[in-house]
Amino acid sequence: MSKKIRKIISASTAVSVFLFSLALPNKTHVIADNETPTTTVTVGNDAPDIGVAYENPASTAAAPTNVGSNVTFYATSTDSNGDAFWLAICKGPNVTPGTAGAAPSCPDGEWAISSATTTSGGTANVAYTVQGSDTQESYNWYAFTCDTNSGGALCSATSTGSGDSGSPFYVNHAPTFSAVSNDGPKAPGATDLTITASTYTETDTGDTVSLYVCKSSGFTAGGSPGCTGDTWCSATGVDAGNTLACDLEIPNPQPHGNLSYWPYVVDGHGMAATGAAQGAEATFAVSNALPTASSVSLNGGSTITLTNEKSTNNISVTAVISDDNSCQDITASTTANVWLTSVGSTGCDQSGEAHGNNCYYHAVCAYTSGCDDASDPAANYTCTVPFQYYANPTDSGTPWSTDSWTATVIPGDGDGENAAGAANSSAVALESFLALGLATSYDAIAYGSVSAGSYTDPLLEKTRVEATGNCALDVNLSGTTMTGPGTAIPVANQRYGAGDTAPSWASVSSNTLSTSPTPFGLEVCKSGYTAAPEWKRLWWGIEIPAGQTAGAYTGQNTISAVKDGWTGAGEWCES
Amino acid sequence: MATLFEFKKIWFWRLFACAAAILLFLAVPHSARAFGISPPQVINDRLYPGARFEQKITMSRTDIERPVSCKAEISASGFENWITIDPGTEFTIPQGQKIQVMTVKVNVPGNAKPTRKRGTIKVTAAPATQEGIINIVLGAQIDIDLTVTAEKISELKVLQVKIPDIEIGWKSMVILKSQNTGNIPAAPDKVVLSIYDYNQKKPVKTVQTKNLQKIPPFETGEILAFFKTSLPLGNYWGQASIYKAGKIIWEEKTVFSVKPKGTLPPQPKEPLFANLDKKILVGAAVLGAMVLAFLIYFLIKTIKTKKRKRRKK
Repeated sequence: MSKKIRKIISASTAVSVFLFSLALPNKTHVIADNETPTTTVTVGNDAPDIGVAYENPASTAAAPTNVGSNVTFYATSTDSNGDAFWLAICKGPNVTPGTAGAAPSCPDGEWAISSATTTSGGTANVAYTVQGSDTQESYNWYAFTCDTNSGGALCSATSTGSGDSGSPFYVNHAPTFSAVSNDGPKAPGATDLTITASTYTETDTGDTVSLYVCKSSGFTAGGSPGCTGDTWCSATGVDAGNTLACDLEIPNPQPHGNLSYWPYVVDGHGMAATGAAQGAEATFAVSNALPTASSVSLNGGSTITLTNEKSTNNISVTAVISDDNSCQDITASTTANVWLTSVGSTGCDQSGEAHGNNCYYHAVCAYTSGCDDASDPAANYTCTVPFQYYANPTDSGTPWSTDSWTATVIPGDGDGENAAGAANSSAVALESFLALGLATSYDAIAYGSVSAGSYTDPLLEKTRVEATGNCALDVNLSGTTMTGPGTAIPVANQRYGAGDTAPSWASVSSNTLSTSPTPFGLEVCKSGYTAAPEWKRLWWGIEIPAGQTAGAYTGQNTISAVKDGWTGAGEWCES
Repeated sequence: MATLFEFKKIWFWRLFACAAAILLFLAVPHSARAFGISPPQVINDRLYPGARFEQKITMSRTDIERPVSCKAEISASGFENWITIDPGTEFTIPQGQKIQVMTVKVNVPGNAKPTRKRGTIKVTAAPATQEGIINIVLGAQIDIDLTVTAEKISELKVLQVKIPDIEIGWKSMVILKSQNTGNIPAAPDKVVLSIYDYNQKKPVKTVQTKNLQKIPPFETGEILAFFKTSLPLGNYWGQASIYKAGKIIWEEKTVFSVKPKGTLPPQPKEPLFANLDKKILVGAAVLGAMVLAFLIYFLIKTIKTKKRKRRKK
């Protein structure tokens, strides 16, 4: 019998059947032998019978449901009439069955009502997506199942479940994270650059927060939160309301400037924060690090030898320059001072102190090798120092025999030089450079026309002897006989003399030239004090024997430099 | 007339002589020139009998347009045969060449008594002679001052220390440029290398070696010190401490890197038994050869004896 027919029977005979049944003392339907009984019955609608409703997964205080996530309710229901049923999760303990088998409603508000019926005996589920407006930390719920009886649907009693999976469900609210800050700039290698979630909130009672500072954009929230890429630093499990910060270590070397980071805040349940700062790129500043010099070497540690008369000699100073901002930050502002050790580094650290004798200030240094890329902190530099030919020697027999030369390399980067990072070389000797030159226009012994039987009186200023090295000079003089069209003119016919005025022939009678080198105390000062170069006149004269055949005569005079052995202050005209 | 003729003749010759004399010693202009030597001395106060000592002397000049003939005249009374000059006592500096290095070699006889010897070497540089003028030759004097001593002196001067970059898997290395200022072969007692991380916050490793080559007397050379460190890639600070006679004679702290394979030129080879005396090495080699020869002899003899026994049987 269809349900529709049963409803008609129920409507037309309900009262008579009821009265008839009351008339029977034992409620027994007695049927006479000769009558044909009419059997009518009205089967009533029974309310469905709900089992224990529950959440799955259970939404508990320890494992609340995040805003935006679902709380899913389950309930099994059996209807004695075999009716399918609706599942309604109401905010209050009341439910209103639907009319004509429609879905029920919750007079106090609903969390969720199933959108389809479930066969009697089955398990229905319905989900509620937790809303941001659900500001409470927990909410009660009441589960009902209602049948689909079109004639008068009935609902079950309420079920609120039991235990963790029972009512209420708990809500986890996202923290907010709106501002981040750091205490940069700090130097490469610093381990205490602090990133702070300077503005955040966490409203859930007893919840904690964590900060993850990522090296790139991308973060995975949830049970095991973390940066998708590398992590600068993190602070986890901080009680809400406390300072949320972590310290990161700046790489070393690291070019100065800004480095990016991406901060993420999650609560104790791995729920990502909302807010403008969450995952937004931020930067901290790496400060300029001062470069330092090491392994400084003057002339490779070897004794310096000069070889350019009246000129400069390029002497090299080498050093390893390191910079925590990488070797690429070192610039040509790296310089070298080279100083006589007795002068001291402080006596050669200003341009006004520069002097070819004893102080070379700010020689230019240039990169030579060793800087591969920005991860390389050090590079090799070579400084070229133009030593003057008269730079003070430090070997024996000089005023500076107990002295030496030292180089200071002052490293520089884009922010200028760093005197604090300077380093010195070991002390190096500079050898005597015994050199003699003849001044222009005074470099030939040309007596001109001299008559036979006469001599040059006074002597002629034919040569000027220059100290073209770094020593004071005396000379050895010698010569050869002069040969020509007539008899050879003896070497002893030549005389020489010194002084600022021309000596007379007679006054230099003892200064006759000979074939063997003869010391002559010309005493040319060391250059670099009163003149560069120092020089002295060397006068020459000749006597032509009477009757000497006229003509051009050829000879050779030798002027040899002899180091003027220094024995006392001022002897080399040094001041 | 005759008198007048004689008078005219005399004055003719006088005027001729005067005219001729004007031609005498006419100057030929030269460009200013200079000549120098460095150092102008050969000094050694610690020559041990039998010692060899060399002093390089650099000669230089400004006028390179002409070749010059150089002469080195040694005045070394009583020890002339100790001294030789390379490239000889007469040589030419060719046109265009500014510098010529001359090596003064001192060979002290093995039976030389402690003494002091002094002398000179006079060096001249003469351009080709030009006729009709007084040519000027420039020169310089080298002073010789040698002292022979019976005392053995072991001294080493460190001139430069480098800690070069290495490739991963290589041994760490310290290069010591050193000058032996004593009169017997010398090396540092040991080299200690302390390695720190680049931030210099923590020591990574400290290693040392005594396997160091000796530098011959009066010579300058490089000593290579190797250390097994097994460092990972990265940048480090290294501090090398050089010990001699129980004291630190040099300390150097500098940055070095451990780089990936194939990024650097090949590393120099580590010398084996660097600090062993050559005589000991030769002695050990001879002894080893003798032992080997004896073993071979013994083996051959044994084989022959066995063969004889077999034949007899």
